[in-house]
Amino acid sequence: MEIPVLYYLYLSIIIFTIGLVGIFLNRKNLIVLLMSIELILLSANINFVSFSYFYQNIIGQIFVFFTLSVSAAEAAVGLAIIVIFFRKKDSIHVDDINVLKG
Amino acid sequence: MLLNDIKLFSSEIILIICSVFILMYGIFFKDNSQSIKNIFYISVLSLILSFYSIIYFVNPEMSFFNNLLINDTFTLFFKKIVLIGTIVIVLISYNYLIDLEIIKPEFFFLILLSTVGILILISSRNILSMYLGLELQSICLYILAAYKTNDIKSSESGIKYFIIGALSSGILLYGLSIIYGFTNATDFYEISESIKLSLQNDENFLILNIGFVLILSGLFFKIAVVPFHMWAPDVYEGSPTSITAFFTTIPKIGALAFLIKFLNIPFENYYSAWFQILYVVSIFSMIYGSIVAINQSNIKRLLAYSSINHMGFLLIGILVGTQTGIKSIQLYLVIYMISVLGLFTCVLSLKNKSNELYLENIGDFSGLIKKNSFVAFSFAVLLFSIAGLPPLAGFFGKLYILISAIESKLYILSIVAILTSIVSAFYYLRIIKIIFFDEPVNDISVNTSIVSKLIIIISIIFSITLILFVSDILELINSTSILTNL
Repeated sequence: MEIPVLYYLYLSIIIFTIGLVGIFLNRKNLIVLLMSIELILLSANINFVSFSYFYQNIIGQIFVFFTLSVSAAEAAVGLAIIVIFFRKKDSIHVDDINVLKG
Repeated sequence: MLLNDIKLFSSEIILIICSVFILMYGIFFKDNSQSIKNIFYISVLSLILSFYSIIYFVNPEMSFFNNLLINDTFTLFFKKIVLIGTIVIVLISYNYLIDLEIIKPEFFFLILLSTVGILILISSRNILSMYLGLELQSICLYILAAYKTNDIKSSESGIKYFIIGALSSGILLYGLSIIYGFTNATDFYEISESIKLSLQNDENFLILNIGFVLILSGLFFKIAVVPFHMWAPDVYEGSPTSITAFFTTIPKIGALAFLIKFLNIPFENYYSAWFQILYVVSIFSMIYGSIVAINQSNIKRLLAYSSINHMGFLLIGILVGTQTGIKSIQLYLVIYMISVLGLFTCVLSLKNKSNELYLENIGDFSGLIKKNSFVAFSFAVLLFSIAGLPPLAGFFGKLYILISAIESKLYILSIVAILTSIVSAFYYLRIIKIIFFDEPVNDISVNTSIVSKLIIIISIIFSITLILFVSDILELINSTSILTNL
């Protein structure tokens, strides 16, 4: 039995929403923010792969390879910046990012 | 075939090779001042070489690398501007970073690599190359924002920039995936054809609209316009000043050039949809940028808000939807970049004599005229120019955008633009008043190196004498155009 492409889109929309909500409602930990960003990128990947399968067009799957490597690079840089912040502030609590305001 | 592609890509290849070379050089040689100096020379030289390679090797209107990238005359114009701006940034950063004792080979590596990202972004003609260029640029910028690792402000601005930037590129990527799903194409020209076809068949546009709005909001994050502006003031304040100068000019020019291209190639038949979005965004960012900047005391924060205002102003030129609008944006961006870079060079030359800190508070500039009339005078000229007073350069930028807006009967937008320009003139003039008429509160030490003096003088001469050769520049700009269909 074949699963219609629409179901994959529902899945990707749900994951995308979880990611967005995770960023906007999260008031605790910076790592959770990183995870939410990864979820958003993954939901886009699901879209690309399912469209690629639907159209029988390989470009979408090639796109996913690039997106995966980009998101890995992004996570590496993000973790490094969080480490720098942690060294100065001894905390990665979202509420502690409060020096700059005005 | 491959050789031809390499020739067309030569400006980026030079930068990539030199940046990797700099990284290796930094690893294998000790961090003494001589090797840093060599690295500085190499990076300036590579930027100049890449500028020359654009002039001599790259012929316009050619696609390369399997139609991933294209060089039309519009693209080449922006590439040249970006490279000139980056040269200025590298020159003014050198002394500043040495003074703060945070100079490392990585700085030059990151600046060069993010410039490559911007160049790829501008010349892209496929959503894949566009996404990769954008990410290359922004990942380097996250690191640059957090570059001053011993300063809590800098690392905090890095975190904020990273979270907002990664979120925006995630949203953008989701939008791209929807566009791919709707049109079954990744090439800009094929997307354009596909949308044209669906417009003729009167299909359901809900999905395309969602994707389009997501992509636009991702791009709006990058150029920091209301309602996606909230990261800009914090990030600009926290990062080291010379890097703030980079943020306010080069990536914004790149993202705006791409936005123009994106709205005019794949979505050229979709004018009615993006008109409304840009209209609202433009009005709100002009009003917000000019009003909130009034009671800012930090010069970097103030320039952040003023750049929000300028970006709103520039969106008018896109909204017009004609070639004249785009030409006026090109003129405005050149003027904006030169004035802002000159202004940042002035700011970077001021220090507090007692504690050796760089001045960022506007109140501390008081009585600068008694200390150093050259810097005070250049502040005045550049601020007058950005505020848009008639004989100076900034006026012509605003004038041509307003002319094109009035020609297209966008009266409300023009009125808002003029009123907000008056409001923003207030806070530029306030800085001039503090510099010229207030009593000095603390001792300012001014040290301008020969290079930064030269940059300031060039930007002043440009601002004052633009009135004489504005027609020549317009002629140059008129010879560039976007290749809207193949």
